[in-house]
Amino acid sequence: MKEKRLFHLSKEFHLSKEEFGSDMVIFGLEGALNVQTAPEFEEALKKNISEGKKKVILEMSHLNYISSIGLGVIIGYLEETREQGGDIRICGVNDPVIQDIFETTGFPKIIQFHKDLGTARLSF
Amino acid sequence: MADLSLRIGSETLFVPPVVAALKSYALRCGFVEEEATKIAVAVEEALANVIKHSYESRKEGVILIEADLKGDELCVRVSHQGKPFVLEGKRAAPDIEKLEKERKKGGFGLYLIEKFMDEFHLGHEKEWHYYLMKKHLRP
Repeated sequence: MKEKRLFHLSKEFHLSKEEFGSDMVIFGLEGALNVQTAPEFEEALKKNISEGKKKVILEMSHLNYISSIGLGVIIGYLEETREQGGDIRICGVNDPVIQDIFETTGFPKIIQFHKDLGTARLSF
Repeated sequence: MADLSLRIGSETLFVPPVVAALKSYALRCGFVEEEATKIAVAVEEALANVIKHSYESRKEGVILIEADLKGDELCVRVSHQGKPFVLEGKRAAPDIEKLEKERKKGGFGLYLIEKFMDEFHLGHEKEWHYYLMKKHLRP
């Protein structure tokens, strides 16, 4: 496991990145993924695609807000990752409104959700 | 004059503080945290739509945000002078599998407004177009 790196993308949103082995990366999302922070999040994810990591986990236990622009970034990243032969898991969602947003927009139909990081890692 | 009245430029930079102010106002009106957050999401979706579609990301546009508690009903109005947005009937839930296949990133915003607010209308008054969103306090 490589050292955990933190990206302070803004005062409202932080992103951490941990790499496991040669092909797995875990992004930890913290704070608010909104119209202001989503473009920065998208840029950070694009860099990861160029690094060739195929197993991606988005850990959201510290995420407290998401709006539609954040959902759009995740869909775009999902498609690009799958085109490279990879896939994404989402885990740790515990905010009730975020759970509601994912459920009502149908995200569980296209992405596997896991209760915690351990089960998400084992799912690959 | 509305209880809360804000005027911002058409820039995403100003959206988070407005959303925070609306959430704070909703909490003061008596909404629980979860419902206040849903109001915040709905307001962000309206503002994002105005900036992207009505002003086409031109920063010189003006957006007015007004909020009032009338009885047990919170009314939020987001007004602009950009292109009017056409809403054709009640929006169905987004077909996420189709959006994924077509690599479309949008399509959730108006649906979330309708899902999280009790009422949602688009209208116009003089030179202003507006999103009117209402939510009732529940005992």
